[in-house]
Amino acid sequence: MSTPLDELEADERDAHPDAVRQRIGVVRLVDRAFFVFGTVATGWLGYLLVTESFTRGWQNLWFIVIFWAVLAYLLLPRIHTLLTVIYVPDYFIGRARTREGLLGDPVNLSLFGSAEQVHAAMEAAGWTRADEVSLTSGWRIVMSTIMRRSYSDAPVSPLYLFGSIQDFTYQQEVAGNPAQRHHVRFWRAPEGWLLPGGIPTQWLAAGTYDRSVGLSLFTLQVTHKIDADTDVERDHIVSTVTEANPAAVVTVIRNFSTGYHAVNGGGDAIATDGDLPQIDLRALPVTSAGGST
Amino acid sequence: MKRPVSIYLGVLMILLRTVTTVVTAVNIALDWKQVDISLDAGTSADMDALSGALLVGLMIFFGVAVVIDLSVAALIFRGSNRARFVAMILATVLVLGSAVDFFADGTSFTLENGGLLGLSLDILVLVALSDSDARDFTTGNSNTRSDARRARRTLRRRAARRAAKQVVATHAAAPSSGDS
Repeated sequence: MSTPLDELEADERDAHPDAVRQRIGVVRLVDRAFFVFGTVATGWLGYLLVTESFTRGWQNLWFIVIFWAVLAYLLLPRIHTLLTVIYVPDYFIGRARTREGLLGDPVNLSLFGSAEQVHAAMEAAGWTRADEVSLTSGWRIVMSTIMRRSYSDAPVSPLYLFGSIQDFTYQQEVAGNPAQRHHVRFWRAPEGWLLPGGIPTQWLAAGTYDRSVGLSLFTLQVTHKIDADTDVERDHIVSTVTEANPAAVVTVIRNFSTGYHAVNGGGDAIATDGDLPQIDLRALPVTSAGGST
Repeated sequence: MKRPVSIYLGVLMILLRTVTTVVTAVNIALDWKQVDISLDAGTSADMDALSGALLVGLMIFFGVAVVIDLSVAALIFRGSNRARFVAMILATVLVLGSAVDFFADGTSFTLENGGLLGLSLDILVLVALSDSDARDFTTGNSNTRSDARRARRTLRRRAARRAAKQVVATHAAAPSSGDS
């Protein structure tokens, strides 16, 4: 994400670092105040909607849907955003985070190679790239649901690692069932960043299997529920990639994390043995000449 | 930077708010005679003129509000951070006003009297525009123009410095080549 600080010329930034930083700091502070006030106001709106829906009686039960929408898409995410800033660690603990800052899917793959090599390997292994979340893709989801058509490249929900949204996502459709799919999100690790234990990596990925559609435990939003055994999905990704790409070399970091049972950002149970496979794609031939890392 | 969904939503909410303002203004204008009669104690020409002036004043007020709303919405859409703050401050004032009405005077906000709709839109404007995506979009964007100006100035200065250096270098080179 480009900030004014990035866009300034380097020497210009050196000349007036405090002025720029101060300006951004003030904007952030005032924004934070508006954010908190907006959350309080949304809470009040929720209260008004509840009393209104009670006074309207059973004939107007649809009104409760509006209350749910305000609760699930405005109030609860904001409360989580405010609270997770305080109590969820923001350093790498092997888990992606949701937009609200809740701990999300486990990071269960590490890769080496250029972006082109990752794309080539995934496409050769029969994965298709998911669309980005946008107005166009949102419209396509609505239309495909109404028309009962399949939308195989439907976007996945955003998850964050290193403070940024996934760089791209690959998925495999399951026999025309829109509720189920394989999917894996990729993040490029910062240059020179090391995994715990000092192990180098270039890409980190989180693969999980969507088994149904349901409500998130934390925000009550409509979301995909994932299969608890994330190791099965991890091994599925590794086997499809290695079968289709003989040049890929796989090593496994045993017990990268302790094996654990936990819940992801939607409240779905997850369990893993804690192993982290590393797929080296650097020997993969790339058809286009621009194979820069 | 791509325009985030929260900016679209925020602008949409401001536009809906503008629609409710227009509807309110039209309703007041249409119902004015009734209000006038109920208010009017003595039916003098003075009172008629006064009520006419009041109506015109009110309509001008609504007109200005609509123009401000529309221009703020347009500026936010184009990425102005100041316009975003103006919209958030306006929404905050309106929400606080409603809160005072509710908690101090016991005004009820229901669907029937339209109070709930207006309040919801105010809160939604606030929620959408105070989103971190909206902030990143407008702070990234509204500063680009001044940043571009600053960058141009730096480049000009650097080019001038380089030209000056070149002049010095050629001056230094010329006599040395002449000497040898």
